[in-house]
Amino acid sequence: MLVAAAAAILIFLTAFSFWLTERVLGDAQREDQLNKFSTELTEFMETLRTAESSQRGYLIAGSPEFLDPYNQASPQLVPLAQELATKAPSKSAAQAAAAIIEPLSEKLEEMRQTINLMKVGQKESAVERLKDGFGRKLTAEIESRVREIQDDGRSAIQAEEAKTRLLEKIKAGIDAIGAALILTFSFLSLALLLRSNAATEEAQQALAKANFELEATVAQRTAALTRANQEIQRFAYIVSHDLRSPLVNIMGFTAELENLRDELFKGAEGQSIPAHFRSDFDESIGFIRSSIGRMDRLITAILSISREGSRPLSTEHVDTQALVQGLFDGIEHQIRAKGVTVEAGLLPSIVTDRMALEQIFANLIENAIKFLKPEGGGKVTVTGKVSGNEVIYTVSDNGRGIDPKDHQRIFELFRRAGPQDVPGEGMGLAFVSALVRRLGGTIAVESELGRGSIFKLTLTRSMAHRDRREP
Amino acid sequence: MNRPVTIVMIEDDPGHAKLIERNIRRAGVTNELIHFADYASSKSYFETLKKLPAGATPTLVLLDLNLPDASGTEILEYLKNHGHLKLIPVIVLTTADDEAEVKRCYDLGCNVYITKPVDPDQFAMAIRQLGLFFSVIKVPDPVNA
Repeated sequence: MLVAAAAAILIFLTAFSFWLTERVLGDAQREDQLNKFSTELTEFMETLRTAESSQRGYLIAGSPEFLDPYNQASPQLVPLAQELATKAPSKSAAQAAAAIIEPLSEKLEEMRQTINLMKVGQKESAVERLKDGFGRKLTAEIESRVREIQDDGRSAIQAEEAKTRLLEKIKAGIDAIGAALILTFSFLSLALLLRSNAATEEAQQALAKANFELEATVAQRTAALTRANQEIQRFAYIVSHDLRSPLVNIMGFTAELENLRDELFKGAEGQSIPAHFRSDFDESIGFIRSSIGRMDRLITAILSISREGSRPLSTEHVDTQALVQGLFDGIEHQIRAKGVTVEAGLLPSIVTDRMALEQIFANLIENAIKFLKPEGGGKVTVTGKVSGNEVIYTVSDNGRGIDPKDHQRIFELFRRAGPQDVPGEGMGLAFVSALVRRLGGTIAVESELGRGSIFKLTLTRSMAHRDRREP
Repeated sequence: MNRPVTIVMIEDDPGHAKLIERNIRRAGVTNELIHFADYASSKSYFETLKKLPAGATPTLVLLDLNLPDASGTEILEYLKNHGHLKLIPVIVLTTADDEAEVKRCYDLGCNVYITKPVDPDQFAMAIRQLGLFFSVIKVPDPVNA
């Protein structure tokens, strides 16, 4: 903006200078014209005086050779005066020049008359005529008119000159102001530039500082997270240990009671014990046992997740194709028994923790087979592709599908979706999700009820080659 | 020459202690069984034992790893580092089979490591086997050791 303003000022100054130069040139021309006119006026007056002095010389001397200048000059005078009138540089000068013609004619007439009188020998009356001053008066009048015209021209010139001088002064002033403005703008621009430079530098410094602080904050948060993670794992471990302890007692003493059962009822034989006592007793013991069994599995699940979280990961090149094929082979009997079609596309290999990847695939494939439709015709497909720095694997099935409202839930520990007609603890996907997180990947599900499910696993193509232990 | 083996059980959970004892008895093991519920009390017993000549009281230790006042591995370490006490066979009993823990116990010189299973039959079986184990076990002869 400042630059634009400076440019506008420069353009204006240049235009003004140009205009002023034109004007000064015009003034000079006018002055020249006026000067020429003035010269012509002077010439005219000289011609008149030549004619007049020739007339007088003739009247005094009486010899005709004195008349030569008169005869030469007098016929020029009227055309000269007319020319002056047309050439006049101003209206007033033209009027004044036109006004010369009348006294001029009278003067010429007077001179002609006196000369004619002299020619016919009446010298006395000619001199008399000269003496009465009429001729002189006319000359004076003409002269005064001429002077008037000259004065008029001179004052016009002076006025023009004054105007030009004023304009030149104004120009000088404007030039000075313009120069000052341009200088000011330049300085201002420079100052702004410097200031913006300083501001940029300051911002950069602030940014660097913020980055540094951010790094420190991230390190702090990471340490806090690591601590929290450690605590959770220790907690899980202790809890599972300590929960197991009473469970061992419950189970052990339930077994003790069961051992006593036969003796109890045997001892009471013959006495009136209702028949349903025996079956109620067995039923109660059965519930206690199955609950203990379930609780034990849950505790084992927590324990194994907590253990998996603390297992150090090792990276190696994994042939995913072979890994998945191996998993299919391992459950071949199940696949055959259920009549499932399994298919593995071309699976890109990956650098990651083999055991974790194997457990992820094992759980996903096992789930896919587990939740196929009971009427058969089940199909499980594993695909893979490389996408930039990542590998995307999918495990899809044409099974019973998962309601979209449960898509989040299925990854939570001990949560299951759909009809609970298949045994399980709601562990598998929670475990998978924990493993995928440890490998630095993501897992997502696309599914609709009755339409099968697609589990999409995204992992980095090459996990950083270091021990990614998250204690 | 063989004196009856005294079984020292260090187990803080009275239920577990009772179950272990019953199962051992059911397996036909009639040996004297001394029960300690914590590290400190068992330690004073071992201190006394240490002063007796080796083999005067043949002993076998059943050790629970989760004690209120110390980790079972501390007792294991203590036993394996104090003169003739290191000859005492130690059977570690625990609720969770943590791999690292199992390895550590064997490194420290435990002889057998048994996870307390929740399945009652399994538990009874394990303990009874332990009983059979006791009856055939030959406590190292201190003279030849």
